[in-house]
This record gives sequence, C-alpha cells and structure tokens, in this order.
Amino acid sequence: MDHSQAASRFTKDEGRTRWHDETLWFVRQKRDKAAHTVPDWENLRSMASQTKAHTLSNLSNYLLEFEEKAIRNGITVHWAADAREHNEIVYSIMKENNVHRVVKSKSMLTEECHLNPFLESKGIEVVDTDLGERIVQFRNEPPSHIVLPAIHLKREDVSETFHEHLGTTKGNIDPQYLTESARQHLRSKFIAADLAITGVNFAVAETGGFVVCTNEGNADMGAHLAKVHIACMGVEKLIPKAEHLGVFLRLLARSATGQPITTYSSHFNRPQQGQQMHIVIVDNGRSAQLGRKDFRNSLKCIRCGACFNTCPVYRRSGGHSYHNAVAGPIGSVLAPNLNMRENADLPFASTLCGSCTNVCPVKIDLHDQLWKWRQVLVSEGYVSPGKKAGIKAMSTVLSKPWLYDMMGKTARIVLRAFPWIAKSKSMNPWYKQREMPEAPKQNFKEWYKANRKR
Amino acid sequence: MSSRDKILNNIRSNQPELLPLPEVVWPSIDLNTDTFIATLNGIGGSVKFSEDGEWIQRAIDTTNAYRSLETIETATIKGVIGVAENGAIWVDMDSLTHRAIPFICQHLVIVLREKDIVPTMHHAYSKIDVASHGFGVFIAGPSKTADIEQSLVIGAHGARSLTVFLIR
Repeated sequence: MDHSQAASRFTKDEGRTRWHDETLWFVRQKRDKAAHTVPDWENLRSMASQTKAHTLSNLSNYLLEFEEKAIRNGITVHWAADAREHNEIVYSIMKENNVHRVVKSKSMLTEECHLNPFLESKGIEVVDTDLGERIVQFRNEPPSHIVLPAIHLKREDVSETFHEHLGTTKGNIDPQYLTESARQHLRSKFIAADLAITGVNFAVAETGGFVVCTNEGNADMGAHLAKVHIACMGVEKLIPKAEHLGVFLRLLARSATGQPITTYSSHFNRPQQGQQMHIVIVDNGRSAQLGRKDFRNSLKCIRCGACFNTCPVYRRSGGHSYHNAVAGPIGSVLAPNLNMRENADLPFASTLCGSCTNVCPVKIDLHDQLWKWRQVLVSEGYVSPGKKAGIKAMSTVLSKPWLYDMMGKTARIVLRAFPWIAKSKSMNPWYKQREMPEAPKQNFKEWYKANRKR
Repeated sequence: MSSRDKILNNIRSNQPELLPLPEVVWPSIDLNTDTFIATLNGIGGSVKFSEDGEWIQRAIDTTNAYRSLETIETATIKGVIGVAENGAIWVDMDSLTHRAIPFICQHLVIVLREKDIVPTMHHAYSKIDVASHGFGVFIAGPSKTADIEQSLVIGAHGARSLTVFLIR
C-alpha cells in the first residue's frame, strides 16, 4: 500500500484525524514558544548546521578518533556495514554473555534494522521501555513518530492495551494511572534485565563518549542496572567536541517538544566497574547518502521530529502511512536512499510548502530534497506510468503559453456544459474531500485584458 | 576487507571537500538564580534555600548506605553546575557508589551552590571536563512522559520529584 492509499485509510476517521492534526500542531506551537525565548536561536541553528557540515566533510577521521578514544575508555567498538550485520553483532554479544532478557530504550536505528523481530526469532525477550514504544510494542505496531511513538493512539486505546497485557482496570483511561502501571511493570523488567540496548543522540570524537537524551529516565535505568550495555549508532551521530553538545542540546528538546532540555542528558564515557559497554557503529546506506551531493545534508538530522509536527501531510496522514522506520519529511528524504523502488511514493507525500525547512534546527533543505528526489525517481523509472505521463503532459502545457490558454479555454467550455465531469470521483480524484467551484466564463488574463482598457 | 575498513573507505571517497568548523560563540546573556528557579519550577522541580553544613554529607552517606537500589526512597546527591536557561544540573558520580541512584530513587534531592549557577549550556560545558568522568548527566526536573495523548505525567521511570537545595 502506498502513502496516499494508507493516508486515505487513516483519514476515514475524521474526528481522529482532526485530533492528530491539532495535537501535533500544538507541539509545533510549543516549539515556537521555546525557540522565541532564545535570543540567539538563528545563530544556534547556523552553528549546528555548519558544525554538522564540517563533521560530515571529515567524517572518516572523526570516526577513527572516536574509535580510538572509545577503546581507550574501555568500550568495545563494532562496525556494521548493514542492518543484517548490526543485528548479528548485537546477537553475538548476547550469546557470549548468555543473555535472555533485554531492555531497550528508544533507538530509531534498531527500528530501521528490525532488530526486535530478529532477536525474538532467536528466543530473546526484548522489552521496549519508553512508554510510547512499550504501548506500540504490545500492539504489535511500529512507532508512528520518532519522538512521540504512540501519537496515533487515544487514551482509550492505551487503556484497552494495558488491560489486556498488564491487567489494568478495564475502562480506566486516566493517563496518570496508566503510566503508573507501566512504571511498576517496567521496573521489574529493568531489575531483571541481563542487557540494555540504547540509541545514541550524539557521539563525541574528542572524548570517545556518547550522549543519550530521555525524559523518562528509561535509558539510564536500563544501562546502569544491566551488566552489559550496547549503544547502537549511525555513523552520522558524530560531533567533533564536547563543547558542541552545548549547541545541540540547546536546540534538540526545544525543537522536539518545546521543553528547554530533556529531563536527562546522559554522558556515557566509560563502563561502570564490572560492566561491559559496547558501541555498534552502523553504515546501512549512510555512506552512499554522503556521496549524493543533493541529499547529503539529510545526514545532519538530529531526530527532533520538528519537521513531522509542522508538516500538513504528516499531521493528516499519520506516521504509519509512510511505511518506513522514520516517517515525515525527513523520513521521506532518507527512505529512497535505502530502497528507491519501495519508497518511491514518499517524496510525493508533501506539498513542498517548505515549513519543514523553516523549523529544522540543523537547517536541512528538506523541501528542496523532496523535490529533487522526485526528479531522480521519475528519471530512474520508479514512478507509475500514469503519474509519469501526467507530469509530462503538465510540463508540456505549462511550458507553452498558447497551449495553456487553449487548454484552459476548452476546459472552461467543457466544464460549463458538463459540470458532472469535475464532480466524478473516478474522473477527477481532486474532487474527493473538495467542493468544486463552477467553471468561470473567462480566466484572469482575459478579464484583465477586458477591464484594463476601460 | 573488514566492515570497518569498507565503511571508512566508502566514507572517505564519498565525503565532500573539507568544510570549516565554526567557532562556538554566544551573545552575553544575563540569566541568574531567579531564571534558574523559574525555569526549574516550570519543568516540575522545586527549589529551597538552605544553609551549608554537615547535613549535606550526612544525607549523601545515607543515600550510599542503601541495602538494595530499588528500595531507595529519597536520594541526596551533589550538583556541580546549574544552568539558568533550562534548569538542568550537571551531576557527576564522584560522590555516589552506583550510577543508577539518581534514576532509581523515588525522590531526588540535589544540593547546589548558588554561585555554581551559570547562564547557558555553553557556560556549563566550558566549566565541566566531560571526559574526566566515566558517567555524568544533566538532570532537569523529575522524570516525565507525555506519551499518552500528550498528557503530562510526572514520574515515568525515574524520580517522581526533584527538590533542589540552593546553598547561598
């Protein structure tokens, strides 16, 4: 099912669609309020963008520096070329340590690699510990948003799910009560876990350490209590120095949820006594994206989700419509790099309004990249013949003013004679969810010519 | 070739020509204790003023004398730097016997000297040597979540409350 089909399924429930739209817009407004309290906000965005651009231009050296320092810190460093190798490495660490129970905090990379189903097929219990992720895990769904994984669900849904899996009182929809139940349930998982997996928000080349940000404290509960900690990171998570954390941590939470900073910004440098710490550095298509000049900037992303919250298409189509671990505008730019055929629909899931680019804390030119992907996908033949023919016809008409005038005139005559054509859903998909105006007698150009003379 | 070398080779051949690293600069911002208190209150923490004294070390010793981590009711720890712009407090593990303490306790108390409050994160990083600690963390308020319909709930996995004692 492509994005537009999945989206029309999502929008069938009008009330829920409106709720989804308004809730995410509210988060966007909180972001604005937080950004406006920082006098040097625009300067911060520029610094962050240029720091990432520099890092990407020297990434091989920064990775080497990071590896060297991390090893010196007592961390074991692994390298994975693709998702399969990432999963194999994680599993081999588990096998070596005879691990059966794993707790995991949020990591979009492990979603991208489909780590959970892989480990479960090997008989390992993996518990997602972020509240939103636990909810969707119980429901056997992927997260629908990188920061707010269960934003597609209402409290009634969560109450049902928790009643089924945690034995909470049926019909009790109080978020406080539901969160407390999850807290008790997950505390027992944290204490029993043999191994913890976390993501990485920032890896610092200078120190060989890494930073993980959460509001709930689940990454810390997992990582400090288990005897083995594995942190999984894409190669693009590197930043040069600890001082750059000041720039990125000032931007991240404000852009994500409008908080001044996440509750916990945890800096892991060395394992605790008696504990093992591993880092898996993953490529999985990132080095290829680095080589695509037009799309390279997408590797600057710090996964704040601001582009999701502001996107009129994301807000009204829901994260699952994007059939990719990362949804929204940034997901639509990253996904075709992983698989053009399967993700050819995603760069078209945008109005190109540019709002994503305006809120991006690292100034990724998102709407430009979406537009550029469309051109690549059409020229490489990944777009349906119907869409391709339509685009071609459109470009012919729009590039020839006489043809445009003639077509317009013909259309006005035909539509005035047979208005039902415009109101036929099969002949005019545009009519769905829209009122069609009556066709006017003349277009603006004709009206202007006629009236200007007077 | 190992995956490591393959990845590094691909990156080396695909990365663009070296671009300059901008200097980290920030305007002079006048944020003080009042901002710190207001921001921390805004994110669910509370602030009390207190006198310096032996009680601090006694409270930390009591925290470290736990029988099992999951039974710690209130943990008292030392804060190193407070950040006015976001209410975050840098905590290293120098005075603690286990890294999980600030997270697994039901309630957290951080003792911070008022003179150690700085305006922004930039000031904080210029004072901290991150790499000198095996683990360190900025803590800003109590643990929280809004994963159910965006309704804020305090006390997700970590501490249910944060009280900061400011020593003048």
